Amino acid sequence: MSVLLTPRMMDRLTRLDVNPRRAAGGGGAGDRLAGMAGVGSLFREHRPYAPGDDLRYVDWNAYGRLRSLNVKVFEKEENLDALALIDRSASMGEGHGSKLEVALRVVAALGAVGLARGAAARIHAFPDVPGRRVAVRSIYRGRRDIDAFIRTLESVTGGGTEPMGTALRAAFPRVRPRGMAMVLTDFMDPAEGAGGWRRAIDYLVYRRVRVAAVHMVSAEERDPGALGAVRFVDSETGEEVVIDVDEKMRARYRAHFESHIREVRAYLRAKEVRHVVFEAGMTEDDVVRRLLAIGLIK
Amino acid sequence: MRFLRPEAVWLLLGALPLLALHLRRLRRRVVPVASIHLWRELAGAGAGRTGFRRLREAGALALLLAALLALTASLAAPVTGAAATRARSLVVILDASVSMNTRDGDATRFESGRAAARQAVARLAADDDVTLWLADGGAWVIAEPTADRGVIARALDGARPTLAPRSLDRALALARRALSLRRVRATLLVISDPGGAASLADEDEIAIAAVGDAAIRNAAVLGVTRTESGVRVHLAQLAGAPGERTLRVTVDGETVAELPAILTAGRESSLDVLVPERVVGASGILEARLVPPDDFVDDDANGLILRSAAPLRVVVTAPGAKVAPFLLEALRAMPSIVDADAALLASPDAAAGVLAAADVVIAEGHLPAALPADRPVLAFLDGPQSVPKPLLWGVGSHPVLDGVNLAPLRLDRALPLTAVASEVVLVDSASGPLAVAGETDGVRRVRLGFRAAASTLPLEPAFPLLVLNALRWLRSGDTLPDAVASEAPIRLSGVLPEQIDSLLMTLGETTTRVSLGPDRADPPAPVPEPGGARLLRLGLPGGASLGTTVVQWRLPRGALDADGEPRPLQAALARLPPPLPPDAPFHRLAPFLAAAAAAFLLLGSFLLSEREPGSRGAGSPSAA
Repeated sequence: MSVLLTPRMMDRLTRLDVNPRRAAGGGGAGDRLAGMAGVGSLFREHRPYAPGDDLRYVDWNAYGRLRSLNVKVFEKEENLDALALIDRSASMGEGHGSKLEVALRVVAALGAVGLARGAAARIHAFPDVPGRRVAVRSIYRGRRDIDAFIRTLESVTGGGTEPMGTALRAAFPRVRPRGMAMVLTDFMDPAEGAGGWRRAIDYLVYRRVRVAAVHMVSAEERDPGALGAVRFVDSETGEEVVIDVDEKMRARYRAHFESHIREVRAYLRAKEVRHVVFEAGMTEDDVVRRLLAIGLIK
Repeated sequence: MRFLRPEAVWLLLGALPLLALHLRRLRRRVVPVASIHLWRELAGAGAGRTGFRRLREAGALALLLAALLALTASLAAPVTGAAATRARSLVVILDASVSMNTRDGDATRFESGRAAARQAVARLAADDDVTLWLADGGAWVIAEPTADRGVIARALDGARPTLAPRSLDRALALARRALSLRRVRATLLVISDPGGAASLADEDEIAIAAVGDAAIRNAAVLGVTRTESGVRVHLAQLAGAPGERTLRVTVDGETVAELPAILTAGRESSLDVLVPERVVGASGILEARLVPPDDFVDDDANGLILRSAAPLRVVVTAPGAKVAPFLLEALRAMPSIVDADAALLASPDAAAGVLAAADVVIAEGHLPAALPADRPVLAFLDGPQSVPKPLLWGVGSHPVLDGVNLAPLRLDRALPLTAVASEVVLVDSASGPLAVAGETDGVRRVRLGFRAAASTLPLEPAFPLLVLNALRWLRSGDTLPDAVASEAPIRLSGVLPEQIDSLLMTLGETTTRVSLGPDRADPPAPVPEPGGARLLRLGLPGGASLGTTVVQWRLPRGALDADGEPRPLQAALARLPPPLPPDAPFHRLAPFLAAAAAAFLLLGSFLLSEREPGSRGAGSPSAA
């Protein structure tokens, strides 16, 4: 795998911060301020007492002065134990410019930022491919693990044809998602069925994991061009379909593909899963710029 | 069923571009994609499935090929029923080799074969065509494919057997070759004798008919040669067992001898026939014939032309050209031997040209100085070495002394002679041979070491007989052969060549005149003949007949095959296609095949029109 992030970019990223508010949320208190009122150790504001509020949070000092009951509101701490679920199936491609490379670059960027801020990160590449297992540590924590984290990502290779739903369901007993999970995939597996990606998303949501989905697309998928009568071969299943791709068909396919993206986004949105699209071939600058644009880092 | 236009089969070549297009259709650019399910959703659930697509394309190809096949069959105009067997072809191969000349009963085998051919032709329908071949050493078409029965009948009537060896295999091969060029299927009928039929293998398309009796008898008169007192007839039994035959010898049609012919199977024999004196000296055609005729009559007779007894032209030399009167008287007493009136009297120093004009030179005293080396000589010699009254003590045996009694002979003096190796001593004495006769380099000479006047010989009746014998013996020294083998050249020499100006060589019914001309040293080249006959006649100027001819028939043994299993004619005819009723219906299949072709074409086009997704309109099931 090529170099995901240059030292210059690494230096820049370690000075940025993750914006967990823009990501899908986790379940417990952590080191990061969630930007929401809740249980925490950092005073945020007073608000009038309402029946039912915990009397432990009543500011008695303020009562002595103001003779009115007010409760203290603290900043909610975020748990940034982030799990990156990276789809490395054959459809993601491999090598320079592939969707897999960009997905790894996105994880590397986000991981560098988060680990620099003391967050914890985990990596799982699916599906499992015998002989190509990714040697990962159970967790990467803090700035000292950034290099190991990046090297692990750079060792991820493509391969495998198992559907996303089947692969993740088999992996979850071992890789327990908690906090935040980011799924990086091209959503080219069937949506429905036991191996469908919807089942995988549903499982994560059910486990109360805050999920973000990075939808990897390629320029050829968006617009195949007027190929003429060709035989398309599925890179994972080997199935073939012979189609005459003229301009008419090409336009129909482009529309269908955009419709597919919209369907994915709609489903994810209904599940309160953040959906962002990244394209194959994006450089590190493109990726960071995009992450800044969509607010995942700041 | 048969096809009226089989050339339509060339249309099947149209299958090649169909196959090429099909193969080209199968080959499409392969594009790997992340997933085809979006494409499949777009194109429809049933489209693009590889297995179904391939099945559809294969089915389309099969239907198009079937359409092509049906169209081709339709254009080939198939018909069933009577039309399928109408206009049949029959090829008749009639054996005309030498063995077909054999006579069985009243007809020869060839005549029986010709009748069989007529029988086979009569069985055919009016529009069936017939081809006639004649196999006679080669193979000839005597009637090209025709339905005209008159042409066939005339061809059969004009056919004749030959003396050539059998050639049925060659004729069969050529007939088959001709049929393949015509692209016609025909029945072949081979008509031959039992031996010829046995030489062919049974095949489905060939009917073989054997005519004639397998058992034949054939004896031949191989040749006739002259003997001193008549002729010697050479006989052979060439086939079958010898029967009772009589050898009849005729001269110019007049029977001069009839005697039983002794024949032995497989062996040659000869028979000496005494011919009357009057006939021996005559000229004419002598024929020796075996009667009654056997199964092969062509070799039952042979003959020769008798030598003409033309009187000798003699030149008598004596000193001063004074010949002893009794010698002249003796010569005059034998007009059939000597043309005494034309005899020339000359001196011993006569010119060579005078002596060369003589058939025989009779010399008294001593031999002429200019005696040509090739002249026969009867010499009564004298010389200084003569001895008086020699004691005679031996008389030899020689044709010159036939019937001559020399016992009373007394000689006043005689010249002893030296006999060379080729000479026979006629009269011997104590002083040496006094009379010798011999032949050297083909020239005969009789030398007497005494003059007639110096002996008692003229007083004896033996004298004219001695002179007669000597002249006869001297005259028969010409080298015209008595018999000429068919492959040997004819050498002419001696006194006869001037009287022969040409040869007539007859082969069968063809006679060729061969002029001898000035280059007589060059014998005529032998005429090769395949076991046939040759009749040689010596044509002479002035109508005089002279010379020896040989008529030789040499039919090789086994030429008249008697082996072979019976191949009855009726059995062969039964294998020919049976006659058709004239109004037999037939059915044309072309319309049905054309309809099938159209149906296959429509179905195949429909399958091909199920184009790949991408060419459909908005009605596509999964359009976005």
